[in-house]
Amino acid sequence: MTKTYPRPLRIQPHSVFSAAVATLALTPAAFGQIYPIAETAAQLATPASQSTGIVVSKIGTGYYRGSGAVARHGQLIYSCGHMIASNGVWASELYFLRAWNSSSIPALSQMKAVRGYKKYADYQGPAGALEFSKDFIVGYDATNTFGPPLNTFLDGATPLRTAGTTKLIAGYPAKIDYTGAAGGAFQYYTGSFTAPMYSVYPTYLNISGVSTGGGNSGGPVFVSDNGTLKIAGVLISGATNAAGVYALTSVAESMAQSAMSAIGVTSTTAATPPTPTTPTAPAPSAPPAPSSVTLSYSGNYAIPDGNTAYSLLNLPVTRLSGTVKTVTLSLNITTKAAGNLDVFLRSPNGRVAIIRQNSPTNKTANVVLNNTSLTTTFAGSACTGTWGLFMRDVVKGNPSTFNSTALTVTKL
Amino acid sequence: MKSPRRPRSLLTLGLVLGGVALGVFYALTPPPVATSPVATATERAGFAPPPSASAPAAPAPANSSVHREIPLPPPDPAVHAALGALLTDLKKGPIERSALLARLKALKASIHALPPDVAAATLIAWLDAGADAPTGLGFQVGAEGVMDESPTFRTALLDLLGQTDPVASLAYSQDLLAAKPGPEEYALALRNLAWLNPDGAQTALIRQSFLASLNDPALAAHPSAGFLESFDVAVAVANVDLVRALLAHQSPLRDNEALSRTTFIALDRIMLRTPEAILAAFAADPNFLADQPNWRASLLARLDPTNPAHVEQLRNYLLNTPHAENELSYFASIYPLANFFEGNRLVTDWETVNPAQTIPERDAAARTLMDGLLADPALRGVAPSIETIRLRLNPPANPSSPPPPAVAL
Repeated sequence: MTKTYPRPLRIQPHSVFSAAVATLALTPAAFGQIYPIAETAAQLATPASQSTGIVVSKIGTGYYRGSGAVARHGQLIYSCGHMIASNGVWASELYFLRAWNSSSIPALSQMKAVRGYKKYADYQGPAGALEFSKDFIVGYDATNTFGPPLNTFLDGATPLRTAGTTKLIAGYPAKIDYTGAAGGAFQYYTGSFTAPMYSVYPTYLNISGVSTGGGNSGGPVFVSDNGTLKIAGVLISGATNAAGVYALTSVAESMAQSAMSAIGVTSTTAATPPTPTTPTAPAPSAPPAPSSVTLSYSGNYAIPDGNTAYSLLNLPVTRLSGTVKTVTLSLNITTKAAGNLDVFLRSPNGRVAIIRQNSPTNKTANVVLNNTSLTTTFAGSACTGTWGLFMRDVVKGNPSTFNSTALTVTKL
Repeated sequence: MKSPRRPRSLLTLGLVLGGVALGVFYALTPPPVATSPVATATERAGFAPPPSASAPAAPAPANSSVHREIPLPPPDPAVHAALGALLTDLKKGPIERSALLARLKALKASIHALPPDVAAATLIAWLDAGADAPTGLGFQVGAEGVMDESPTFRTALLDLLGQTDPVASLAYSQDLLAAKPGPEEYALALRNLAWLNPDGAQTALIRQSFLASLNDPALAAHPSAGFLESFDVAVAVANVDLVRALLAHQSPLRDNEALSRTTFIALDRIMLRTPEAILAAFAADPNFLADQPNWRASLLARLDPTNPAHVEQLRNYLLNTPHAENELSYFASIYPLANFFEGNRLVTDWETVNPAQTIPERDAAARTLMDGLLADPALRGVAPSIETIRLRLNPPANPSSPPPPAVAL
């Protein structure tokens, strides 16, 4: 691994550990250290291992290797952002091959090409303190199916930070940090561990006593959910005695959703919240989750004339979980002076879209919107919650009447 | 939670009772934190009662282009006090992170529960007071441009202000820009303006204000998180002049990694949202990004093969642009570009980074385009690059190749 997070981990020089192991013949258990172990044939046959794979990228003229996993859909892979790190230069090639297990990396002709990827990045990047919390990509291809997709946690940080949950990390370390042993291109997984990870930053978690190795970057970090391994994060950094993980969040899910949209497919597996650890009674069977919801209200409501206080119509979206794909609004207000009105829509999270803003120069009558798209304002936000339609008539003399509205929210 | 059906039944009841249509809004509006004076049954419960004489809006100032200024009501005493208590505690020293985030979340809920004009008044009362304290949090943009974390008390208030009464938020943010605050406040004031710009009335001011910050040497030398995030405001209002300013600004600062990276992301998003701004700069300047040929190739790799104007620019790039060494081979390895940056932005959204077509549709169009370009004798000199693109989009079955030497990451 080329990147190790410089603080607060204490990085031991590799040679110290090599000497200690050679002279004392200590076992990992004696150190309490978890490190990668080459998988047996039986382990390699498990679903989690079958969908973990080796990743190769080309940036400029150089090739780089790392790890990844098929997640959420057979045509998506999850890996780390520094596999395709760029400042104005995109990785020109990206390949993936699941369940590879050999002394050397595969030929590119054996691997499956990844047509494109979405890389999380914000403008502040290295200037912000959260560079590693953004080290994540979703790769996709419209033609290749990379393998059976694995389920993911919608919120990976919670199970990773929870003591007692069973965790392990898989991937392709070229060299094991802790022992110095060569890893070849065999698939490894760490022994399972139950200690909790801790947040360095909200989505960047560390754990001491677990080490991986260069080449393991991008590898899936699993948590057992009722006996099934699900991806909770992606390995993005490490040292001889510590590992750093990007924990999956709703941002990762949104990236996966938009990746699927880009290649014209829909998901076949779930991104789910963590299963509660305390036993609960089985939930009654629920109706299928909708992909869109429309809230309609009609009725003559006289907006107080010449009053600067807003009237509020709450529009609660409850049965649509996920990320907004589109938002449209229909609205009918009868008035002789639309320029007297302030009307705006607010999402549950607080983003505001102005529908009408009072203007002395606006002499038009009525406010009529027919499925007007507000997608550019609200796309990417959470669907669930109470949306608010606010309206007021700030000039006395031309009464306004709210007649009807309809808000339609569709999810990715 | 109420289902959508319940309001209809409530409306019917209201009509039956003789037009108590106010009941609809009462039933649908969650009861707010009690304020003073308390709403009575004859008023619109849930809000502070309107003035006994309806308050007319102040007349529009003579130089106002669009909006009336609206006088604000008094602040909400309870929320005002809660904000003051937060400020006091922040001044005493760092507050434990999770406790602080929980407290800020509760304050946000309180603000949202207020009538938006009262909420704005409450926030502006503290903003006008000028007091500030660090929160110990980062400048973290969340979904929809709403802040997940704000680094100071005032930036937290500015973030919330943008979520309240648009008229008040707009006016205050305009005034704040004129006062030239620090870069984090400046970024949020710009954001608020950009949020409230459906008719473009604020565009000129936004561009002017962003360019003023871009030309501040101190900001460029030590770019803060807020300053860098504000580049999204430029993306939202990009035109060719702003593109030229971005290009001119980054050129002498290429070694400034943070600024360089941010500028590239901004240009990439402009190419996705407002490609004509980039292409106008390209068409007019033969040295467009000559000092950053990889950037040039990366941006032009987004040219739409189905858009005749873009195809013409593609020909222009292939035929008339003096390419740097390896530039065309890099371009040929990525066109048409299917990679995207995604993340939370102050103003622009996620969807605009996806092309209207799906990637398979775009690739099919690009294959057809390459076939046509290969047949063009004028492009004979760049035929190898065109062929590379065509083969990439039409790979032969089972080519043999040795494993590449690869660095482990």
